[in-house]
Amino acid sequence: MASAATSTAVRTARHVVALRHTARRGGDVRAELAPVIDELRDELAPSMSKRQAAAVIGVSVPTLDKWIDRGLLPVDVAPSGRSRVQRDPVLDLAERVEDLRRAGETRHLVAAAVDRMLREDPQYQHEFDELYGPGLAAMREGDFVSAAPGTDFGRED
Amino acid sequence: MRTDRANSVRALAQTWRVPNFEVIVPRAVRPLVDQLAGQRAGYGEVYAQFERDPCAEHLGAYRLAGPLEPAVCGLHLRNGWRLAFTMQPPEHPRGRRRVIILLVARREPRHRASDAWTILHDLFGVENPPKAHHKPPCCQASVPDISDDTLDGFLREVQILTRGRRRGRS
Repeated sequence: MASAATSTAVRTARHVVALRHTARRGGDVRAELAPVIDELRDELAPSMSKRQAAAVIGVSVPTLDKWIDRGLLPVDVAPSGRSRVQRDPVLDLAERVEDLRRAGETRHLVAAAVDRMLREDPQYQHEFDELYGPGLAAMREGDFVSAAPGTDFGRED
Repeated sequence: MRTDRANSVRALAQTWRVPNFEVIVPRAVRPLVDQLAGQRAGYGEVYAQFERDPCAEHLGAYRLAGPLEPAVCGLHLRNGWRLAFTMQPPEHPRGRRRVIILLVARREPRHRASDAWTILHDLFGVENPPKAHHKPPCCQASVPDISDDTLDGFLREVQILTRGRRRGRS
């Protein structure tokens, strides 16, 4: 039902990543692009599905899963019980993966990009925990319960 | 030898009993399921069949018409009760597919405020098609499929509705 919205979100996120690259040239370009990048980023929801995140970064969902499982990308659980990946870390990661691609790297891109983020910013993991830890713990309980009939249901109920 | 065979048969039987589908309901909708106790609506049988195969023909589930057609199936329980559900693939490769019960309510076309299909369409924020339709089997062309965003929107509305009702009671 929402495939068009999904592809629009992925496209917008990719535009943000591409513009960030261009903005790194510095000077006037950076100043001119900054508000455009912010505006585009704000059009995106604060989190996205794993499929969307994988498409933005340009990797498979299992690859993304691996890094989520290792705690290197923060996720939260939506009311539907599905994992949602935080937008900003996805954009950061996509930008670094793009760096590696442009440098000719083709393998283990996410691993290398996360490694680079960790090396560049030792607070990376710590900040994720600080930012998302308590909220995630509260949301992991989920909003779904079993639909099994209760003990007070009779045979014909 | 006999023990080994008995054990393997038992293990196989155990495997067969593992439900194919996880049948769940939003926490806020669970009270609607609970109200079926004593109503002789046949929900227990439907639940058991959902765990095995929600697409089984004898269950009689049908696809809704209108804007919810891609995403939601309906089912007639006994004594005028209706059930709306959707399905989602497993989140993990080894997980089970999910049947999500969205709503259980009576069909009351003359009382829009309590009519199952009116409430359902309101919660999704879409138009309830005015005319009856031919009710194709739920899984005839494909299984119903709901996006996470659509489901999240629905759940938000359910939570708002139930919060409102709780406030109204107090």
